[in-house]
Amino acid sequence: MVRLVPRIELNMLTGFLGSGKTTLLRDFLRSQEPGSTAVIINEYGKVAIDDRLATLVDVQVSAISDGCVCCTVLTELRDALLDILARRARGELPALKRIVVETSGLADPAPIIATVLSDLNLNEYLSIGVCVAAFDPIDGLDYCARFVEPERQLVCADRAVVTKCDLVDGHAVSAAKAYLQEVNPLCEIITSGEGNSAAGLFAGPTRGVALKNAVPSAPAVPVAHTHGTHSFSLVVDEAVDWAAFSIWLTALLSRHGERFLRFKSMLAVTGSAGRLVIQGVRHKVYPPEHLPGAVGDSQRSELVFITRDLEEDEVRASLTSFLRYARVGHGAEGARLASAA
Amino acid sequence: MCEVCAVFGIGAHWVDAAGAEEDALPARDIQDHRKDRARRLSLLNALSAPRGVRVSDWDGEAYCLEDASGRSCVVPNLSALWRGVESMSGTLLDPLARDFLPGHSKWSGSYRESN
Repeated sequence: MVRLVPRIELNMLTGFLGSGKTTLLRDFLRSQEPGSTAVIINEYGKVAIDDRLATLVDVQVSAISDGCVCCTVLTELRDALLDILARRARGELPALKRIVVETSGLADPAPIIATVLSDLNLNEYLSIGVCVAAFDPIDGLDYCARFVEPERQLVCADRAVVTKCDLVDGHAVSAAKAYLQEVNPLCEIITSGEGNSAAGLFAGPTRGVALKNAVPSAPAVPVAHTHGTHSFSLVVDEAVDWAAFSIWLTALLSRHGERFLRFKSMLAVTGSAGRLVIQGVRHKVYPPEHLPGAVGDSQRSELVFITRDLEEDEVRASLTSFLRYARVGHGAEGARLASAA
Repeated sequence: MCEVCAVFGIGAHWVDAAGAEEDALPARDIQDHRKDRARRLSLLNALSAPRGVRVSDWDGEAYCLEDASGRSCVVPNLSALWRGVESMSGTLLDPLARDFLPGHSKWSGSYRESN
């Protein structure tokens, strides 16, 4: 279906207290055309950045469904986004290229994603763009060991920026990068000031990149400083039956979504050329993306999971058994039940 | 959305969105969509029927759940379906559990014990 009005990209900038988010945002805005970016800052007490459009939003949350944190809707954020869209539609704002939400230092980005994906209006006019996490190499490792919030922010990131590199030596930067790679093998890691990092802060999407080598083939080992988090990858050496895979994934997320901190998969789907990229944060799944054309081995599907307190073997056994069942075991019995339903 | 069927506020769910490629012809899309849903319903019923719940299509977008006593409810999408089946059947549905699949001993690897 052809869209008459393209969706505006909603990017997120997250990071723990003092990690350098505002400096990154200021540098980014200076590199952009005036009027192309709307900024929402989700805490009081901040001042508007430059002369650009900035909206201060107090975080008011209201729980929906079972009250899971990733399924909460940020009502003030939703209202702020709808206000921006309405003003743009009335011609009071220029044609925006993107909206950037800077989270507070303690915020979990997952509810921001839930807010957009759960709202019919926002979902119609916005698309989830790139989530950037700022990481301070001076205190970041210590904070991650003591608090759970920085880790929650980092696993949501598509790109992590090691900030304040001019204040530390190369060892500290390397240690920060190694930690980030362990906690979130799905994200691209750059350092502030590196190449075109300011202008390209939200360039993307990065989610189309191959997942190969995202996670080492060695058995997953919980990383030091983390809170029961580990990552693993699964490979399926055949095209996946989409009906079966979608049933398996929705059932899995319904029961265990809070423990799937982040996942991303690049699937070869039966009967479809190219690949299908599926990714999500806990219970929430982004709209799938089609990657046209064959990419590498067209019969190979790769899935990467960042989980908490969930074993790789359990997930692997569940997926392979379900796909096997759907392929050879379902047969006439399923057809009979479907026709009777 | 059809105002007669009383299913309001249903947007495109990611499961359905995955089937529609941008350059696909509308008629081809519809055929593929129906074929996908039929296949999905077949698999869903294989999982839910042993638990006493039958799943049927509702207006091509939602799902209708019904048990042997005649109780029924409509759920908007596949993500919401699982809690609906659990609620009607009084059982937990856990894909990591040994008894999730019918005839599980034939397909299972190293599963956790059932809930």
